Amino acid sequence: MEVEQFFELTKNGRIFILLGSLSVIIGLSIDNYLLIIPGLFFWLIISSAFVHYLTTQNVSFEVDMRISKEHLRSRGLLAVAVILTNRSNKKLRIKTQLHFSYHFRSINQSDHIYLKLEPDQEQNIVWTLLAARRGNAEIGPIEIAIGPYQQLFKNIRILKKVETIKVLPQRPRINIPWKTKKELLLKMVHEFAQRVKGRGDEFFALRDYLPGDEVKHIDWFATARHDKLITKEYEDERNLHFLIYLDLGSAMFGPKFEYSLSSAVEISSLIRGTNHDLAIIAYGDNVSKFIVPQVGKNELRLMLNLYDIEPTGVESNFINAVKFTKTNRLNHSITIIFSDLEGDLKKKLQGLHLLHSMGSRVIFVNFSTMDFNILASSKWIVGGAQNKEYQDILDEIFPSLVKDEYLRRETEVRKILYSIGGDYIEINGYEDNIILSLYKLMKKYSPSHRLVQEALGR
Amino acid sequence: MRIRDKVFESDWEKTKKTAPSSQIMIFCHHLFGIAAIAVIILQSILSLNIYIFTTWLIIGVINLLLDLFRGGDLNLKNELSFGFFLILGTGISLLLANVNSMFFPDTLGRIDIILFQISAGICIVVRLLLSLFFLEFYSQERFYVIPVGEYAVEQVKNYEDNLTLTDFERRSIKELDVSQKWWILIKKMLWPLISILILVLFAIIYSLMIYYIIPQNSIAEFIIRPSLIVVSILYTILLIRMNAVFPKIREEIPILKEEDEEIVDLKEEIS
Repeated sequence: MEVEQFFELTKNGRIFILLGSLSVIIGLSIDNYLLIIPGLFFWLIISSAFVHYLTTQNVSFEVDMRISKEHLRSRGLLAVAVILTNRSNKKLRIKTQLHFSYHFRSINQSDHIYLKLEPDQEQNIVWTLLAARRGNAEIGPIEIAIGPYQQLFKNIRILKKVETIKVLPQRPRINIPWKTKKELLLKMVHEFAQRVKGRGDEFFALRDYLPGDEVKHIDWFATARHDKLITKEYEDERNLHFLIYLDLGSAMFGPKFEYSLSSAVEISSLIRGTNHDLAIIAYGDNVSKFIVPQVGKNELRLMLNLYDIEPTGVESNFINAVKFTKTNRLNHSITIIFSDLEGDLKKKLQGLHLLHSMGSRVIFVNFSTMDFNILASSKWIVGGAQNKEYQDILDEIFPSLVKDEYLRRETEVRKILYSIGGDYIEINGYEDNIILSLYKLMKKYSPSHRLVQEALGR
Repeated sequence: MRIRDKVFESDWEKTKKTAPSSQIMIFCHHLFGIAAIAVIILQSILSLNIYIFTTWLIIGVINLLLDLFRGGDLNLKNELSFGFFLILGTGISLLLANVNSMFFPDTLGRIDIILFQISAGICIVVRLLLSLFFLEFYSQERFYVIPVGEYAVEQVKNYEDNLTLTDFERRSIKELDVSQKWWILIKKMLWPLISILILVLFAIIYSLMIYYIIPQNSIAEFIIRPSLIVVSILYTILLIRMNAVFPKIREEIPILKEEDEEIVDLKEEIS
């Protein structure tokens, strides 16, 4: 591929010219060899750079860059191959440097290499890079420096090819077996699905025969037993409509946001294989993204779309998001809210009420600031906090007043949620997993558990 | 430190590539600096002038302390400040004392003075060359990571094993060693050295010619030296003009440093 050629004196180079000339002239005029000799040396270096430029002006390269993947997960590895061919009849000593964005780290080898290239020799340099951060990373351009003193004079060839690579978040630590996921889904369907009597395949109950009922549904054994016409009643289980609200507001940032995002992806990956519907609403001040997953090839596009979401930084407005769902008539759905207790709590509570009036089941997932914020706060990063006790840091960052306020908010939200028949899940850090938490929650609804609860209540 | 960073650090170790001779190079750099200062102070002692001696002593000590405090951090800015102090010292000693007493003290012969000055100048040049070489091949080395954790080592090994049949196979590349890098530096200076020497030779021949035609000291003072100065000014203009002719880099390549990355990190997290 074509490379561009550049030669430039850096700021240091220009100072070298001026200082060299000054010291030569002053030294000559006052007959001081202490100044003349370094001045001549300055000249020597500058002249050598110019001569070098003139001799390497026609040196031509062929450079190409290839990467092994187009997207990868964080902590994944990527190989980048740079193929250099010397097309001149000169023996060259060069420095090849690969530029890449801060998402990557080079493994076992510096990002630049000093090489010797014989005429018409091809050299294949391979860098193995480690993806350290999530985001849209860039690889390129490639810079080839010819000759010494690059600090003073840049005699370089640049291949201006930039490859963009999507670095997705890390694979989740906990690997939940598919059996558990299936069980969770079944339980959710059992608990939340709306049943419509009459049609469908699933048996619901027996009842007296009424004129107009189909004859084929009459249960003859029951009729014989009771000595009157009894018919079977069927029900239809409709698909569940899952609705995920993802908070992009100022309260959700850094690792907390990343974790909520990956949790949303985890749930969507659980649901997208089934016949249930799913929609994801990412909201900040307003609804910023409304994603409806599709079947087939577009599934992958959805997942990539999800990872493109970035926190907005403004205070989130939950009511706006709920109003959006109301105008779009996404009623009677199972809403899972990924949010926090920070910010304007009133808006959140009003939003919950509105959701309830729309006939939705609400599950509020609180990514607890208490645990995540410590990981993200500047104090924790900057100070030598590694040696401190965890409890000390907790006390330092969260004074008791803040803690009390947080607990007060939690009880308030819980109260409202239980009054509207919703549920509350708390994610306290990387150890908690959203699927396992939901599973735990569904166990609460299991018939045996419910019977025990009822008995205790009596 | 965040937990994810801690996990990262237990798996990957940040490393900086340093050649084994880099410490020796820094030591030699400081040694030549000390030698240059010592020679200058010795000459100022021999000049038997208290003003010159104190001036050079103070400037020598300042330079020495600056060098020692900077330690292994060699860069061009420090070199230029070293040079600036030398020019300052020359200026002050010119102002404070008789010009002749510094450069032609009665207690020393002319050859001795030239020897002193040339040896100090050479020390400075060697020091500069060392720091240039250091900047070229040692300090520019950037960080890379080495797998330390069991999982990371395995991961890299498996990945590289799987690359063997593809275009991305890692073959061992012969990197230039230190001696070869030195050789480039010296070789690149050969032709310019010859060109400057020819220039100087012409100047000397010209001045000698004038000197023998009109053998008077005043003529040497008024013709030889001014002509050399004119030549040097012309050469400076030539260098500056040459620089103006070359094509320029219009776009700077943005290179993210470690500090920038931290700022990005903080901005993202404390929005």
